[in-house]
Amino acid sequence: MKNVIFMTNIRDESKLDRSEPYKYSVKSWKYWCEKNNVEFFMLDQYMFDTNYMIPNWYKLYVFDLLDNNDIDYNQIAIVDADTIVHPDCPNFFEMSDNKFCAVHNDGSYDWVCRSMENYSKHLFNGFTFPIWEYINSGFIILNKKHKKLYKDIINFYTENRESIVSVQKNFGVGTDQPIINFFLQKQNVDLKLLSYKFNMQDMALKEILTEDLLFTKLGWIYHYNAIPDNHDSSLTLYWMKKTYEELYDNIS
Amino acid sequence: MSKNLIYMVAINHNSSEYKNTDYSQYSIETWKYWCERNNVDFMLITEHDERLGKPIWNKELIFERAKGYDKIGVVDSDTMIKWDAPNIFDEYDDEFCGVVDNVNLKWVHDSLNVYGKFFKGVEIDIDNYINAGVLFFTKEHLSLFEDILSFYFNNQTELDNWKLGGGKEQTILNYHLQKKNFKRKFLTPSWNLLGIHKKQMFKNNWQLKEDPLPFFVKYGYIWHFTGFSITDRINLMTKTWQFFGDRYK
Repeated sequence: MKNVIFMTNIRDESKLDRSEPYKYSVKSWKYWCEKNNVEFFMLDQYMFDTNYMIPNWYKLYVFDLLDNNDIDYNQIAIVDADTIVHPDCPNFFEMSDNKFCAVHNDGSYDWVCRSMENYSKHLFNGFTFPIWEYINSGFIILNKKHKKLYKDIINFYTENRESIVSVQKNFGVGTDQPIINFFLQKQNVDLKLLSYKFNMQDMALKEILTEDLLFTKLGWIYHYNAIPDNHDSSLTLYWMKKTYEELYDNIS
Repeated sequence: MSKNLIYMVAINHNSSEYKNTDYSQYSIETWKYWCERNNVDFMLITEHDERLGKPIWNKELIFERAKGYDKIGVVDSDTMIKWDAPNIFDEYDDEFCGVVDNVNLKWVHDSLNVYGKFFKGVEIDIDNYINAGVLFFTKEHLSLFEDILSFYFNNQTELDNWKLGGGKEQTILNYHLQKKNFKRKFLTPSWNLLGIHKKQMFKNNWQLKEDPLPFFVKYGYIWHFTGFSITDRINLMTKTWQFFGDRYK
């Protein structure tokens, strides 16, 4: 039974510039999957009217989507489309201990703290947890044990949609990511935190998003988020294209 | 005498245009308070050992000054501990403890490169690279500092005139630590809150009006005022003391 890489990559016709860089993500993950005998599954269609649910949430339907497509699997890694994987990235499925795995969200703690505190107050009755366990949802490994967890989150969304959208709109501190974090903690999910090397967020802040692509020497999965002055996602395109060409042009 | 010790070097020295006491006065107040509250001895070093170049190397003398203690903490004079921080000495057994320093990974990478010439064949994973400003360990680890001091004396001229960047003793400590292969414990960033400005933790939750406490105070136990100019350090530590100094009485 294979492991699966799952990615949501829906082309937004109103923001074509934003989608443009993601082709490099797709190509890098396809290569890595082939090399490691892993199946690649990409969701590229809208599932709901965006007034009801924006695509950020679709990853929560991963189990249904795989089942409906008759794909059996052992473990799943859900990856964001603004990531690139190094061709030599170790097979992280072998590091999971069959647990829910993710990387701590290490970047702007102003954002993390406000996200935790605002969602805590408005949606989780004051429940809280250590900020150092707050994960970034751009790279998650999970398995069939976590079906119920994701079902519970979907139900929570359905039952609290208006409040969730209101918090998103009024505070601007995340969509699915904070909710996933709260459910992980509330349900005491056995969480394994992986090294930053497997979800290198906020690379500009860590001063490694440099012309010599220093980040490619320090870790395996590059997450092109929180890039300063990134108007129209032009810098996302610049860095993802540059990375892909450096790492893959000679091997693809 | 307590079984546990906090050791701090805070020396005014002519190698710096700033007086260490301009900021360490606040650090010292917080650590004194916390030590008394937790029945921990506090050893403050204000006299420079003239054998050494920069005052920072006085940290290594702990190997002879901390004899008789079971557990020891070495803290920089640009740190402040929160008034009600738990007793860190209850949080570990026999491990060497520190906080991973990944605020500026380019700096870490470059520093490992420039100091690597002294440590051929020793590899340090960035996941294991710790900040040397807050360390907790036991009497079994004191030999580490003796080794570092010997290394310093063996390379003193070069190290005293070092122009290649990458800091002073931190990377050297990490290389020695790697060689020693001690059992480690990586503490959460609360125990050495680095890059507070880059983490944007001087801010507070302006969206929830009821709680004005800045994030670094709320979520950190030891605040490390580093990564910015000494003028900024003095200003920020002064302001922190002005806001929260009364909690230490």
